[in-house]
Amino acid sequence: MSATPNPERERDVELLARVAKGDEQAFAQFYKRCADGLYGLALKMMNDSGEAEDVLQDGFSYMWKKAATYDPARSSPFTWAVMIVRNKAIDRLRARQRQARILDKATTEFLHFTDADDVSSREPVRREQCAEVRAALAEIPGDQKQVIELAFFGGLTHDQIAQRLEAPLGTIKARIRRGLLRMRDILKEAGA
Amino acid sequence: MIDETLQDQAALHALGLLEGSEAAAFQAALKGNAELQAMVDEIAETAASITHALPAAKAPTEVLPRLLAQIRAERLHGTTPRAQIADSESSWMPWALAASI
Repeated sequence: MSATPNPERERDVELLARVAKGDEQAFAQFYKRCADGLYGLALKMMNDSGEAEDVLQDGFSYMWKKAATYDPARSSPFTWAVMIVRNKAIDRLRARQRQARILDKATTEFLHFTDADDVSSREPVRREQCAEVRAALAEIPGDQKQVIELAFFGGLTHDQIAQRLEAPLGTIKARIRRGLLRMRDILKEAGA
Repeated sequence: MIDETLQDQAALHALGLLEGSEAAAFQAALKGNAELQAMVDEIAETAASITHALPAAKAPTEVLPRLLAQIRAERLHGTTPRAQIADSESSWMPWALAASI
């Protein structure tokens, strides 16, 4: 995570500050800046466009209500929004017991990004972010990526992941930690 | 220096995977430990950044108009607990979990 000023982040921080005061225009702008990425997350987790849409709506509804709780010292606005949408998706997954579908897809899907992916349709900033993160993921061992995917997208507890992968709980914890810390360090070096 | 066990907990906490007594114990460890809190925050940022690697998607166009209509309806009926209300829970719950309340 780069310490250099990030205009995109600063813009989002300013928008959320305005949203916290009830500024609908700022909310609409924040939505337009983040919605595609957050919808992609919801789609990945729910594997259903209708449910992903509901998750997106629930997430932004929550953001509208809780904008005043956002603390720029703790996270970027996008991270705050990602965690909100992720939690909404997890709530639905658990309520609807859809985890089996996620589990089946989680073991290999995340490991493969095609070079021909729709990256060109993204804005330059997003393209760069995508490239940096994919490059970082490429340097993470497969077993670490696997547990990170199950943990982040699957809504599984670490116990469930350990059971699913038939691995000791301590091993799962260590893989999550090592994978994320290694990614953190790679992204820091890249100035992400 | 944060030991590996605590680092493991930090990573799990950042992903909202700690529960029950583990979560409570980690919350206690976080109190007054700026280094540990910084690690949690960095891990959460890293985890969230994975979203950028996902295939591009276009959010459905109907969602924003629905959200704005919802906001206006709630304002009209005075039912929205506006964000200015302090979220007292966010001061002690993991911030990443607070979103699911």
